[in-house]
Amino acid sequence: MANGPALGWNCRAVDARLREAFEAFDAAADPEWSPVRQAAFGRLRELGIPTARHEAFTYANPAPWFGSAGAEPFFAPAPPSAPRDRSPALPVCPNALCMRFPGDGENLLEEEVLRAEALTDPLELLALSFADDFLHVTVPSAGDEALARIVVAPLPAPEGRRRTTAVRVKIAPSARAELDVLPAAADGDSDSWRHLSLFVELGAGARLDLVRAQPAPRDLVVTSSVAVRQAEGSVLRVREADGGGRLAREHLEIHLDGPGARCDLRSLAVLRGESELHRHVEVFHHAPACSSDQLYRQILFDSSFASVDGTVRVDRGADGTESNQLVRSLLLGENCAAAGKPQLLIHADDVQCDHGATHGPIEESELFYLLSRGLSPDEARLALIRGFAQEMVDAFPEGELKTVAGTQVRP
Amino acid sequence: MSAQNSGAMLKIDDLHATLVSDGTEILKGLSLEIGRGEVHAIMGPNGSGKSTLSKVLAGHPAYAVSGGTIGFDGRRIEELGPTERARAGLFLSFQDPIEVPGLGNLDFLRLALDSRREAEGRSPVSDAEFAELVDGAMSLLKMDDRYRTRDLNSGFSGGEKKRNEIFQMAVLKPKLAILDEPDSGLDIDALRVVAEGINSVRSPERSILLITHYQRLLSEVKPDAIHVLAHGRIVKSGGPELALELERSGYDWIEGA
Repeated sequence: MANGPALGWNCRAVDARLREAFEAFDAAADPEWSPVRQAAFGRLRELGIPTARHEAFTYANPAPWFGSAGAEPFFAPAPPSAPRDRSPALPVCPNALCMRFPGDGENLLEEEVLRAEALTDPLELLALSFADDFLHVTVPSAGDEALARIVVAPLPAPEGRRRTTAVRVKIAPSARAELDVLPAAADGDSDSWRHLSLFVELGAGARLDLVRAQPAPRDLVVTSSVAVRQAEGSVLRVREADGGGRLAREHLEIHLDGPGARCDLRSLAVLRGESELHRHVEVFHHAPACSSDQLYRQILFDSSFASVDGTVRVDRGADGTESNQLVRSLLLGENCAAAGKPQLLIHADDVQCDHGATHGPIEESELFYLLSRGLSPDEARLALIRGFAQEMVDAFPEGELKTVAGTQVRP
Repeated sequence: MSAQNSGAMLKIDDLHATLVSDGTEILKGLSLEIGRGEVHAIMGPNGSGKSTLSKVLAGHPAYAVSGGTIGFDGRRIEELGPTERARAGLFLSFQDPIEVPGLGNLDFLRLALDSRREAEGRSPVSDAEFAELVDGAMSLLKMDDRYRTRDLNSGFSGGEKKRNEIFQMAVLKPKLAILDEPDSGLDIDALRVVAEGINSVRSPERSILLITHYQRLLSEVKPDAIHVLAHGRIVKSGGPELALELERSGYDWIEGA
């Protein structure tokens, strides 16, 4: 990591400095968001400022929040030359986001003001209260197999700055939708920070494919927080491919609220150089007969690092729960590393929950098999690496993001 | 590397091999010669070193040759890597082939074929030629079209994996095929199909080393010679009648077994 010193800072000093900067900023701009910001900051102070030492899995390295140029918009007034054009009264920023629907899409779009009160993650609250772009989409029941397609195309973050996009999507009962989050890009190879806040509600029997692919530029910091609530019988499929970047931190929270809800997650990470990716995933089984299936594959080159902190919580009464979580990492760099922190918190009797993790280099037996057919060591390794990734790419729905995901594994 | 025996496809002389991990010696002075076009079978009790022999011949990095020589098609190969041995025309059919989800069965086979052709100074196989090779081998082995779209051995049953190994052999047409228990896990019908596949690659220019526990495969694939391997050495050799005797009497009667 080259994100500046996070460890060894005096927390009290940091706290005082942050508070001073925060209060100076908050008094100067956007008074309508002040209550949200004050609540978030108060919660941060209550919980403590996260550090890499004790919250490595949850918050990743916090240096981008406090120690780099990317933190500037948080705790200092925006310079006059770069006025903030965001306003909660205009929740849709058409320059930042576009939507495509089949047929007459106009009737499918409904705008509402984003609601932030329900959030509890202070960092997420802060990010949201400083969001640059907002979108709220409701996909109504179509009554047939029509697929609504929502495309989120974030604008590049200005050099040395953070840009937050907040999206809220409601899928009406029985509706089908695909939500594509296009790759975030920096202006050139700049030191900037993209953040996505995504809230999804699936009505009873609704189906959603959430598709993301992010081949992050070397110096881009990418963070995201995705929360999904699923009603009875709804189905969520998450397909994602991640290239890391200087730092990527992804939080995914899935609530299986209604009986029979299902979620299925396939996540591929291909990291190079000193890229770092932390995924923090929580799946809540609140209702009976729900299932969750998570599969992570990580290909780590050079000195990259990836972690998966995955928790499955099964509430009392959520009988008939089925849950699987599997993390597999190919460690291909001399200094690369992977970490897994699976947790099962089960309060029901009739459940079937499995988890597993394997991290290691290419299996010698696999390599030998391919060599014994005449492939060179380089050809054999590449074939095995591509095979390892291809299953995940194959799970993507056809489209632009599948192509992006497929190009992640290159020689 | 000098030619050892221009008449032999495989000539192993006083071969010693050890496990790299702990230095345990598995092969202890094994000698064997297989002529061009010949089929030899190796039988022996569990733990005698049969599978080790197959892996050592193919160049598995878990084993080190600590003595003796391996001559293949007129050149010494004990210091070559597995890639070079395969490109020289040696093929190992695995007892338990690995699964590679995400790598297409035919994509892999084409990669292997092109690697061989490149080593021989030939151009990559054309679509039409590859299709012809694949169609012919699939028909011979009574394989259904699912093998075309499935990933390499992924989700295959034990019998399907064995059939797929013979399929690869039939397409690659090696000079020497080492088949490590190709009959294990096969029902009688599948055994006959696999045996047909093995017989199909027999020719005056190709040789086969067949490792098996059972005489039933040898009734379908007639060997020219049978050898008994015990304690890392060949302790007895004979004709096809030796397999019948082993089926009746086991290995106890053989000195050194």
